[in-house]
Amino acid sequence: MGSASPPRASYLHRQQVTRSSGQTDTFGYNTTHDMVMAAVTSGTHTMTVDAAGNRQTENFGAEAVDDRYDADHRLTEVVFADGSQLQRAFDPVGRCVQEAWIPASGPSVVRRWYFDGASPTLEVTVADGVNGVQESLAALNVFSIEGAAPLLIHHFSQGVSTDTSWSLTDTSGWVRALMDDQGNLVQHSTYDSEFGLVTGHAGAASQATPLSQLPVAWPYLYKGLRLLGADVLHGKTLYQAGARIFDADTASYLTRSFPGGGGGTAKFDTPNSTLSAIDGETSPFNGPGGAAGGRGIPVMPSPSPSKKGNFGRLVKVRWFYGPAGAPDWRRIWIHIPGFPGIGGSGGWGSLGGGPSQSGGPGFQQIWGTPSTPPFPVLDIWALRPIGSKGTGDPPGGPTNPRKAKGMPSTGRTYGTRGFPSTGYGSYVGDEVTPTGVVLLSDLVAKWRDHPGRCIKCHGFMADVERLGSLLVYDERGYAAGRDYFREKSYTAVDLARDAGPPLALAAAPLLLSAAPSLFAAASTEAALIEDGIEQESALIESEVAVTESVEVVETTEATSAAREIESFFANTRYTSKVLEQMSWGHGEFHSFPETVRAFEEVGTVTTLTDGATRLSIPGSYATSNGNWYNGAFVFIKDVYGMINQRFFEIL
Amino acid sequence: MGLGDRHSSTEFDVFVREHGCPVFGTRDFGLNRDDALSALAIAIEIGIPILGGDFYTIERGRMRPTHISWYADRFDCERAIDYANRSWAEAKKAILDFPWSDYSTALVALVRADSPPVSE
Repeated sequence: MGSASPPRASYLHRQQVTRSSGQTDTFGYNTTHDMVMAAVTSGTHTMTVDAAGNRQTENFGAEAVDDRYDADHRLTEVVFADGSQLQRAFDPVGRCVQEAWIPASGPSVVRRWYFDGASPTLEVTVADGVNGVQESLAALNVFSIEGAAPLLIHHFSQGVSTDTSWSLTDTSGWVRALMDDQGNLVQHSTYDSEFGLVTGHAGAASQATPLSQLPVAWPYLYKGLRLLGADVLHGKTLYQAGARIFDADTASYLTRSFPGGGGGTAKFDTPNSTLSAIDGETSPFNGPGGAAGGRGIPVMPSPSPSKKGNFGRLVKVRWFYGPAGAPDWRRIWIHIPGFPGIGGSGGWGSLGGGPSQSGGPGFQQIWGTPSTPPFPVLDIWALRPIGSKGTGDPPGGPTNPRKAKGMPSTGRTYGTRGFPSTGYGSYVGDEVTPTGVVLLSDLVAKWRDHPGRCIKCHGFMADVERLGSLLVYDERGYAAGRDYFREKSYTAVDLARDAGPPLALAAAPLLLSAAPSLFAAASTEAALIEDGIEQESALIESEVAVTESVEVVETTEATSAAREIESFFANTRYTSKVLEQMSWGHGEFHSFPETVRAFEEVGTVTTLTDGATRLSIPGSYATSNGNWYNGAFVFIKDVYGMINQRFFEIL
Repeated sequence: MGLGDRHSSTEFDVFVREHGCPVFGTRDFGLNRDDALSALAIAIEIGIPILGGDFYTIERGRMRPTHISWYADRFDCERAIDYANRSWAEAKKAILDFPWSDYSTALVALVRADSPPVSE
């Protein structure tokens, strides 16, 4: 199952990064792949690490930072040269319950978190750094965090709940709007294009809320970076995210993840598998009878998928309702932008009166109540921009204290339960831009090759520059951080299923007619999908297929692991020529997204006559005018590891 | 001489666009051997280093990469003028050494630096 750890030699560390300003930064690593030097704009920083990979010191000129850890390698104290300190405290099950910033002079800032299971439910500002030590409930918010984002926000005033809001998130999990209990849109939030910083709030016309009364600082917006760890280069642009170094300027990690890393705290973060992020898996809709189990979350009264941050995406939500172990009905919901009932644009401005309890505008129930038990596990059928947020939890459920990584984080978690994967793709991801889904021509081919298994196909598009982020996971599959990227990105189409009956064929026409934008404009592609559904319907009828699918998973993952060892990109660099070509803009055949590299495992490597090596990753790509071509993403490196050719080749 | 808009106004770019064949999907322009040498001369005249280049061939009316290329990255501590001179020398060598006769039609796309090196 790919459990063997690949050798560290397979790491790919960026030796240098060229920023948009033209500045080139260089980085050095020790033999255990920890960053020990960073020559950046501000100068050269040197770091030391202990045997466990924990950064111990950082020196830059007169600046010196000491990081201190507990026995579990949790960062408990950061001491700066001027005497200021950052201190963290953990409870016995590993949750960070307090963080204190103690400046060399002046009042401290102290925050505490209270948990419900692994989820931080309460953040209290004990001292705000201005007014001295206090403990006030005035700014208290309680987050009921179920998966991607706070879904339920209780607004408190002097400790008394005044009202309840539901948050609606985009595909990246950012809260875009708040809805009250009556379905009224009460707030619409906008963010800048960098890292989701709030740029404005706007109340609905029907219930306009003065901006001054809206929560300006949404702490969870920043937790992807802020709470992952102390700044590696204090005040600079690099951040410690788990064991990895995140460069905010280039919005990418400098150090690669490490699949199959060792135990202990997450020294090495690793992406989760792709298909486990399918919406609906272990979603909040799962009641006590749901397969997720153990969540301890009661069935919510009058649940509505429209309240669960599923706007803008095609999702299926598994929803069991009834006493534990005896679900008596279920539904699948799909939300499709532009679907009748939500307006032509599908944008937030057309939410109107908000979704209803029965599903809401734009949500369509495509699968009704099964007639009689037994109730097989639902197959999952998801079509989404890669990767719409998942709302699952890691193995062990949300109560596993390790999930929180010792930090109160709203970082979303994705379930890994019960989804055999054929190994297409290598990570889950998010995109802010939800529009546009492209179906690949090989979608159905893969579907047919792997009937009954989870299929993931990828299309690449470069129509817009996108800001996005990827969740990263530690070796146990727990969310450990978020990897932001800003580049021309791609959209993926996922077809996935596990045990159980196929998607009802009767639903296909609805899908196809209702989601033309999601299912691509080309009717031929829609026909292929329909054909694929038929194929799937005919082939998947028994658990035999499920067993086979697991076997396929094992084979494929083992192959993936083997390929990981031989990563084409290990110890490579782009030449200046390639970097220049990569800057030529979206739709340019040299400028396809770097994320393509994540699909190395589906590529083929050939050796050329001069000793150079060619990696060819099949895929599709669009020119800037939107025309799509099938071909391959080609990388050619010389014997020195210099990649001097990087282009999309039409086949 | 500095460069203005790198994609529209340079003498080098104008020459390449007037004499080259656009490579579909890219901003590359393929030049024949003589035109490539002329473009190189312009680059030398205006002081723009050549970062490298790609060779293409034309098959069935479409330009295809030959997978033959070269590059000239600046060494650490290399003086700007030394780097520029070396980049031009390597470009010239690559153009002259390419087996033009092995292809019925071959073209080369030069990738120039974005700006002249800072004088030292």
